Amino acid sequence: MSLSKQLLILITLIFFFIFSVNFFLSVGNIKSYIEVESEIHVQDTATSLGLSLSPHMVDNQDPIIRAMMNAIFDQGYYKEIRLVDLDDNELVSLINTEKLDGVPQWLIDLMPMEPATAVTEINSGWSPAGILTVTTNPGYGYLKLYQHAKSSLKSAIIIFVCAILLLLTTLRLTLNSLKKIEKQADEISRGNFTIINSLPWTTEVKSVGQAMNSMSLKVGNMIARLNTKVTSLTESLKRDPLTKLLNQTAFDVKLKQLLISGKSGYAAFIKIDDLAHISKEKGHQVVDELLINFAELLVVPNHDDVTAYRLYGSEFSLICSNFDKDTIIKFAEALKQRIAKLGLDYELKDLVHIGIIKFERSSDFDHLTPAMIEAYEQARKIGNNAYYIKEDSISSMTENDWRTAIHNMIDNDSPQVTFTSEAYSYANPDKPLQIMEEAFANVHNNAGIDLSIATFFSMAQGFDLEIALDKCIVGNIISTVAQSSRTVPITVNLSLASIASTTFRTWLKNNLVKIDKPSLLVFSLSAYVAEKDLAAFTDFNLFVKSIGAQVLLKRYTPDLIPVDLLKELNIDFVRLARDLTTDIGSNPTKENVLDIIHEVTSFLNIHVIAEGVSNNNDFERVKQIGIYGIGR
Amino acid sequence: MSIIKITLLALLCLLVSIPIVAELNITEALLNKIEANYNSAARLRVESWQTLIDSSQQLSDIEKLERVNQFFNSEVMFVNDIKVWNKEDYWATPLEFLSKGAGDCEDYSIAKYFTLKELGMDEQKLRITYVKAIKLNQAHMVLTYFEHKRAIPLVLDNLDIEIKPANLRKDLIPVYSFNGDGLWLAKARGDGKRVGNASRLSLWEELAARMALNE
Repeated sequence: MSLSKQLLILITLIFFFIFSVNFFLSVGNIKSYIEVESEIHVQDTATSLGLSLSPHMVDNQDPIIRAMMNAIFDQGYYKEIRLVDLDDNELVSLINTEKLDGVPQWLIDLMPMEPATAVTEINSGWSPAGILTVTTNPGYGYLKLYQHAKSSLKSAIIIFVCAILLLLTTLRLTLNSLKKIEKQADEISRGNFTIINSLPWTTEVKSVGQAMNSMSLKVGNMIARLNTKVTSLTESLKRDPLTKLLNQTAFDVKLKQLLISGKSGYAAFIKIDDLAHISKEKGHQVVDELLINFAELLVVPNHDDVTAYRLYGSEFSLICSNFDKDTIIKFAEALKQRIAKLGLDYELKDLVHIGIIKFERSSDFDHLTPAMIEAYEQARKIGNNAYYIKEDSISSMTENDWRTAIHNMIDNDSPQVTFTSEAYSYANPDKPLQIMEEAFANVHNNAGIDLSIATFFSMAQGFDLEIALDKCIVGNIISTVAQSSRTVPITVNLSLASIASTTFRTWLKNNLVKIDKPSLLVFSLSAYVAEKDLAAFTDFNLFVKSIGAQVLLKRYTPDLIPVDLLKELNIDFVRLARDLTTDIGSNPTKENVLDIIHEVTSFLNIHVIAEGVSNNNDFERVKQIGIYGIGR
Repeated sequence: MSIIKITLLALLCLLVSIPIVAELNITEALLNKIEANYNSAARLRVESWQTLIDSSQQLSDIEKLERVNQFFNSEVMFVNDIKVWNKEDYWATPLEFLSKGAGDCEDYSIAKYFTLKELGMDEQKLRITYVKAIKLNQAHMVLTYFEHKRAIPLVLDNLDIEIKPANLRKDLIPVYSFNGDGLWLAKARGDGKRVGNASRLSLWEELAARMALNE
């Protein structure tokens, strides 16, 4: 129950209690007053009537006595007026047994009033001649009491209602500030470090607001500092320390991004053939200088479509996106010239060979590197600093074959879903607890040969079939989960198109009702895909939360999406790019990056999972850092 | 009877006699105060009054009436309230009445009534009666004593210092009489005091209280 409701109920009860007590006291007081007034009144009457009767008491049978008593009695205020002589013989007795209308019986029962009686002696000359007894009619008292009770109740109700309205207004004003603070606390817990600008006037609440503002600023600054640090560290992780070129990891990510987004172009594998020999002849320093000069040669100024990488040792690569055949030939020729010139500087006629391959949407990423090496080997056969362009498709299937395979899967609803990539929590090292597994769709062509799911999706995207494909695969996963008694959350991969599609969301919502625990499904997207449309991803995540499921951002590195941006994505899990948790020991930067990611995500209530940590040393370090889930 | 029992009985008797004085609360301090505020004659009058009460407990009704009537008629002067208290109508306590050594007919009647009550007289036999004093042609008040309800009352008056049966007081025309409580009710209301509540005091209790406070 909210604080405002509790306060409202409490204060209303107190008000009600006060008004009730006040009302009953007031009615009680008026009752006492009426009783006292009756006593006085009846005594006055007795005295006055006694004085009036005194001169006539010489003859106590004188009719004037009754006449006088009737005159008083007929006013109606008296229940009884009785005159007796000194021997208690009744001389006159007047009794009114009528009850007064308009007074409810419950009031008479609730507040009984004894009729007031006054007794006075009547003299005749010096001697007493009789005793006059006057008793009031309590009906008038009750009527007065009832009228007072009604008007008191009416006033009490009006004051009570006004008091409650005033209370509501005051509470609203005061608690509105608390609501602001509550909202701020929610925002902070979500990672939005907001500030309350108009602080409330209630001293205590104002202090809390100031403290919250201070905390929000401090934590926000801390996260920003960590973000700057991790961004800088991650940047260094992407680069080769000697040549400052991007490294193998960056190359893989870039190529995958291009393939997923359906781009085509050329990728070149360049290797200084005999670096070991050069090193032996000219020394390490010269070799380093050569590598640096060679790297500079690869970087083409003002050419955004060309990116150079140092993969490993003497191996370099280039990705030339959006190049056609003529452009790549011209580019390769120019490169060859520059390399030859550099070779001359080091008296090396034959410095490198270049293997170039064409990539396109249907290219299988896993086949690209072997194809590049194959082209390189061809180049070596050609001559000094030669290049070879391998034009034939990397894909083993034609576009039509892909289309058929994709249609077959959708039409036949035939994806084979397996569960893999199990991740465990090692919070209790003796009893690892499985916290995640991944639903993986096995796809194959008509001949039954397994196909790359990444390429399969990329091709589906080219045919505008990725949403249908997602529905097919996710539908199968939902059915499988619905029929099983799984308790471990399952990662379900989606395409960016599905995430942005409202029809897919509607379909998902309608199908998710088949599962008792929708939170078992953890929808995931690769960081390098999500990064392309963070707004759609964030919106989808909100939708997923609304239907009770969860979201995972996979293959995450802070250079793709800054850590402080994670808070805005409404995600539950982050699965790190494998490279971040591979060979940690030899690269202290990785440990620092992991530390910061862990620290920030802990604060943002996001669970981090490391996948494919096969090396024992890496596993121990990841565990030590406190990563939530680890897959091996 | 053992000595202890006799001692206890004696103590009991002493305790029984204490309340009368205690009720009046005429202490040495009070007497000193009266002497300081008024004069030594005032102190003497109050002391005499105390002696009267102390010494008249065992007398017959008639003897009590005689002594009380004689005491007040001889000790105090008959003066109007306006001269004594600078007020049109002021009901003085017996202490005030005696301290001043002056008062009007009401003060006489009240002081006599109060003293007789203190002497243990049955209140039912006493009435304070409003009368008209024919010779003075003014409203007057006397204390009347009824030996029984049909008896001719005896009149204790300050105009005629002798106690006489009412039928011999042709100079007075009776108007109305009250018993003690009735008189008090009427007077207190006339003074604008709230009366009639559950804990109401009798005039005599209030007078005793006023005397204790030396109002």
